[in-house]
Amino acid sequence: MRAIIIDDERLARAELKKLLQDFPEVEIVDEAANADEGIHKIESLQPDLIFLDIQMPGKTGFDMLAQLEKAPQVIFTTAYDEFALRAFEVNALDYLLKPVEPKRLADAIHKLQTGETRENKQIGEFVNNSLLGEHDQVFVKDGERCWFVKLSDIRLFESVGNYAKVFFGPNKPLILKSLNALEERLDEKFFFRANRKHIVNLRLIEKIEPYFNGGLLLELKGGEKIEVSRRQTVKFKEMMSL
Amino acid sequence: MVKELELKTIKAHINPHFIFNSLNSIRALVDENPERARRAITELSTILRSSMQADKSESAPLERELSIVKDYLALENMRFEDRLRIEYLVDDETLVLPVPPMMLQTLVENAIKHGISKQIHGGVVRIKSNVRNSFHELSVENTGYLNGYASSGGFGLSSTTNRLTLLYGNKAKFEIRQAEPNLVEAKVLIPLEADH
Repeated sequence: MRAIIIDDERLARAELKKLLQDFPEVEIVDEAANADEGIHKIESLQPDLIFLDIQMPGKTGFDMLAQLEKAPQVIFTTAYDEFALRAFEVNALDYLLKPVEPKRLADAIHKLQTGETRENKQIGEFVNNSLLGEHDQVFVKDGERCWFVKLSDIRLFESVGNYAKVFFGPNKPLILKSLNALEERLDEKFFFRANRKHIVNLRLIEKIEPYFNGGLLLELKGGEKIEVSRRQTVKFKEMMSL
Repeated sequence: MVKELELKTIKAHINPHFIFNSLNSIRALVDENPERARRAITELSTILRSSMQADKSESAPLERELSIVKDYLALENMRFEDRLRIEYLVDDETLVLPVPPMMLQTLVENAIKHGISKQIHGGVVRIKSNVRNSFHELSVENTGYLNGYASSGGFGLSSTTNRLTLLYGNKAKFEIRQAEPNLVEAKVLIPLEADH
């Protein structure tokens, strides 16, 4: 696993690097002292894993994650911010309290490795790396609440001005991304632009019905009803070979 | 009795974030700079001891309070390295003046928490003490912005105001302001002839 350590304190980074010497499976490819540096290095080096401090000058670790197109695996490191971690609604995510207990670090790395091998078997079918596939995860932050969400769990993106509302489980937080920008990045094998305002996850459609003017009406797993415009209906039928 | 209890809860406050971050830095220094690590343990001990002992008295000479702050800032300097500059502009004649225990410490902690730690390139913490117009003026300046304080509720600020009122009634003053575009100043005025 290629990893980056992001922490504003040099000594904290040095200490974590030293602890990680006992884990040859984790290779530290770089480190960053703040969120902007972190974003830059994550985008250019594409690590599998980041160790991320929460309280940093400029932007917090959460803000940094929300700016990334896709989130790598994350292990949070923090001195005393358990309250901040309670903001997480979904996914048990891992965090280490500084000074880090070696046993906890071993557990966190072990957990990631077992999760990773399971996932690698499912993927395989993807060739194009620049697109977001259904196994990629995104980090969504809406005010104080945060989620790590697998794209396969997102059933709908809805355009709201410059924002997009993301539907998964019972949640629908807003992210600062336009629907057009999202469409460009999403793999069209799984995500379909139904009309001007909606992108749906093809795997999470419950029902398909004919609609006015030769269009279609899709009902999603969450009960949302989305109209497919007449123009897109042709494309949709081709894709689903209806 | 009620007054005493109130003072006690205010004094007992010490930031756990600081303690654990310091311990983490010390652990890194054990290999890198063992001499500095040993000194850091002494400094941390002084601070922990002071925060426990403070309950026992209503006031302490500035000199004693300043020595705690110096240990505290030495530890923060270990964490922030060249992102923290420290300046002391303290008139010798003010060293014997009585001040509420741990008050200066709280203001300095705030300067780090809301000021320096939010600046990517860090900045300065400046401690000033002098006598003017029969008031002891004690101030802490830090690089940063006042809105950093407001957003986090400011336990330190309300506790400082409360303590001064409890000890000196309305004769003491406390204010915090944006003194320069990127410099915040927290200033306490304590009447010289305070009878409490």
